[in-house]
Amino acid sequence: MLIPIFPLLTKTATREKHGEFEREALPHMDILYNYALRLTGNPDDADDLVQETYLKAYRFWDKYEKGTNIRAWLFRIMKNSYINRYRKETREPDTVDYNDIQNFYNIIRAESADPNDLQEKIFGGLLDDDVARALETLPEDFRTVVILCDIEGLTYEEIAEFIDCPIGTVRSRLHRGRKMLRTKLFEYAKKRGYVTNE
Amino acid sequence: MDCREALELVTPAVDGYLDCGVESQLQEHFEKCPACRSEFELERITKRVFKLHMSRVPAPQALAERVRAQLSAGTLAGSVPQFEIKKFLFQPTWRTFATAAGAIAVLLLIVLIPYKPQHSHARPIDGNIINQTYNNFGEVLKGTIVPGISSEDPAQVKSYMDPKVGFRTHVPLLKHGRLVGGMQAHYNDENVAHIIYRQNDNVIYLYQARLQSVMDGHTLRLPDSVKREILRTGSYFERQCAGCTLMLWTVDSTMCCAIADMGQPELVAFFKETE
Repeated sequence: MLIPIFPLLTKTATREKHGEFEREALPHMDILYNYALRLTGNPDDADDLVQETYLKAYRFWDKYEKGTNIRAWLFRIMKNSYINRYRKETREPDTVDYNDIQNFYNIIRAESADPNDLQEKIFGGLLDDDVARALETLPEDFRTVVILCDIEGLTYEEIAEFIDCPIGTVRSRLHRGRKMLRTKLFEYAKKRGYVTNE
Repeated sequence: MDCREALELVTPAVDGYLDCGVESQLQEHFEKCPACRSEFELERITKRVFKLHMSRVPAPQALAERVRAQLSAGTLAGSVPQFEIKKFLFQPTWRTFATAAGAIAVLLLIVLIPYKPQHSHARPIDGNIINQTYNNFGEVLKGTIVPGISSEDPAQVKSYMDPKVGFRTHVPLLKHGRLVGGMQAHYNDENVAHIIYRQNDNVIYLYQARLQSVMDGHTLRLPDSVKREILRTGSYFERQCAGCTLMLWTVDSTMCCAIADMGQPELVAFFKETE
């Protein structure tokens, strides 16, 4: 008859680790879920990705340096899981005319200088789905910074920590990301006939 | 300020990062340069439109529960990573001594008592579902088979599993056991299901495959004697290792193979007493 002393002790350690992990890591599920949702574009994949992230994080919990940014740490685990699982070659669309929207904008800008009015004129008819689809067309690096900045409201510093890049990179990716985004949005708006510049 | 400098500042300006001095210099530049101005205004509009349509979505409650369940299932299934024990030993507390004493006691017992492996489940991988069940049970106990869905609700597990495996899984609600979860896997091109239950500290592993595939014997198979036994009595039992029982039976067109560290009557009762 084996006396299960050893298992009992490891069980206590497991319970402690478990409690600590639940307290520290689980409260950040919303940000992870949102990122996963915008990254994969559907709730089922987002669910899977979040689950996988937490299981991995739990497995590597001893690698996490206490007191450092846990959100950034979890985020990086998720990013890697995503890359391993879903990596699709998303390239910058090359057939798109980046100047199209500028030209249109300059025309309507001459009629009205009110930004709200201009916004309504160009993008007023867009649906949530259009915007979500436009976001999905962005290459992953650009999509990531746009999500973190404009949905999650993180600062440039935080984003830099999340993606492990200098702040200058964050800024330039945001700029280019938004530029691609608006081009795509304009394309959708035109297709649906909200915008008539032809 | 020239256009190159101005364009560098467009994005931080949109996000409100510029201090007043730089901001007014930028505005001055915009007065003279409509191209840079429209670049700035368009980026600002894009950000607004984007934020307008993309609100934050809270993580579904069910997901939070699944993650919690999965974490406890993972730890309970015995997947205690090695590092944890190491860290533990180096903490000079009473636990160090208790752990050491425990380890010595275990070692002594192993030396003193003729060693009988409790779970020697390693079998050849040959499509024989009995062997697969033994192998998988070993993996489940080691914690390497982790549920793809963790839930105590049979309906939830079934609705996750059935479309994945392409046959009707058998996931009963048991009186004396708690459902842990399930996962889908395949052996060559055959889909199989792993369902895990617990009863206190006991893990009950239930392997499932399409009955027709097992009977055809192309990919998955059973020895003829076992098939005959199932056709004759409805079930088949095997007690190859100390304390553990394997039970084969069919539910509609699904082949079930359960294994657990318990006696035959206990295992039969376990699956018989549904709620």
